[in-house]
Amino acid sequence: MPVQVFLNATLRKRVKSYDAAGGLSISLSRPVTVAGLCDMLRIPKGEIKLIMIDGRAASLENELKGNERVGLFPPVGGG
Amino acid sequence: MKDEITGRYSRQIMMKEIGIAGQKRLCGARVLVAGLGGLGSISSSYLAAAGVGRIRIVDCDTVDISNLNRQLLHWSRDLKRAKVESAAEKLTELNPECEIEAVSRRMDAESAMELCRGSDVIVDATDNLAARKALNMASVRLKIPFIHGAVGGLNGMVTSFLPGRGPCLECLFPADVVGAKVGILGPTAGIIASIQAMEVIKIIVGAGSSLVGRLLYLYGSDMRWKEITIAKNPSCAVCGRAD
Repeated sequence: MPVQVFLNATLRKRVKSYDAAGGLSISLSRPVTVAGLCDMLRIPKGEIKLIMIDGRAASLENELKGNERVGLFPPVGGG
Repeated sequence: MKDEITGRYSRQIMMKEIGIAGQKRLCGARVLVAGLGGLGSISSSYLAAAGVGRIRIVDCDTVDISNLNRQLLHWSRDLKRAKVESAAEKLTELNPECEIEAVSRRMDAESAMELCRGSDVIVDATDNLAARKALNMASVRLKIPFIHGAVGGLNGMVTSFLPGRGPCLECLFPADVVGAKVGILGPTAGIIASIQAMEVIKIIVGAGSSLVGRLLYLYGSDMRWKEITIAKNPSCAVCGRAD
């Protein structure tokens, strides 16, 4: 099953014709880390602050096997 | 009784969520506001105005002209002043009944426990993850509710961490993300800080339910909110065994 990837805020500009409602459907032939997924999507990892996998906070090292919902959020670290 | 009906807090005392009992709780409460930038300016103002009895404000910076687009407690006349001094002056003028304790000190792993001890609620209005993680550690160890807010550009996020109930900040950000200096529009900070202040007041008076386990993420560009469920990480390095 593909991974559903939802880009948030400014990250949406990184993927042309991104559909905010449906997100991206990415088929995986083998397990891949979130970092690997970012490489596939050509999203600089430094632009990602918060990663959610199936509603739970995760890191770039977390592995995706398929069928997950991944949310990527840009930094909002200012005060 | 007349003062309670016609006085400074009358418009909130008439709310069933506050009432006289809630106002007494607010007047007896102690809140720590860490950071007096865009977030801390607004949250501390609302907390002082609401009658929080004692607010400890902590920041080690001085006022720079680039702060003035969003840090509404600091004015043109305050340039180069310590932010805590500038803020204490305005907050005291706003509500002389509120005791302001100004501490010009860096919030870090060494100072956080000492600065947070004795507070009923901690407000995270800092601008870096190291300070946020130091506050989180103190929150978990001292079992003090911790209201997290962060902003960047037109985006912002806010959530509440209640030790013993749900996740902590470390569950959300296990990695040490190095943040760069980002642009911030004043209203973005104002929106997020206002929610932080509301969370603090609700927790103190025991009204409603809090943002525990939920993170609100604001997309200001198309004015939408996303609510993200955040779960406790059983192997969290900070709160994993704390409960």
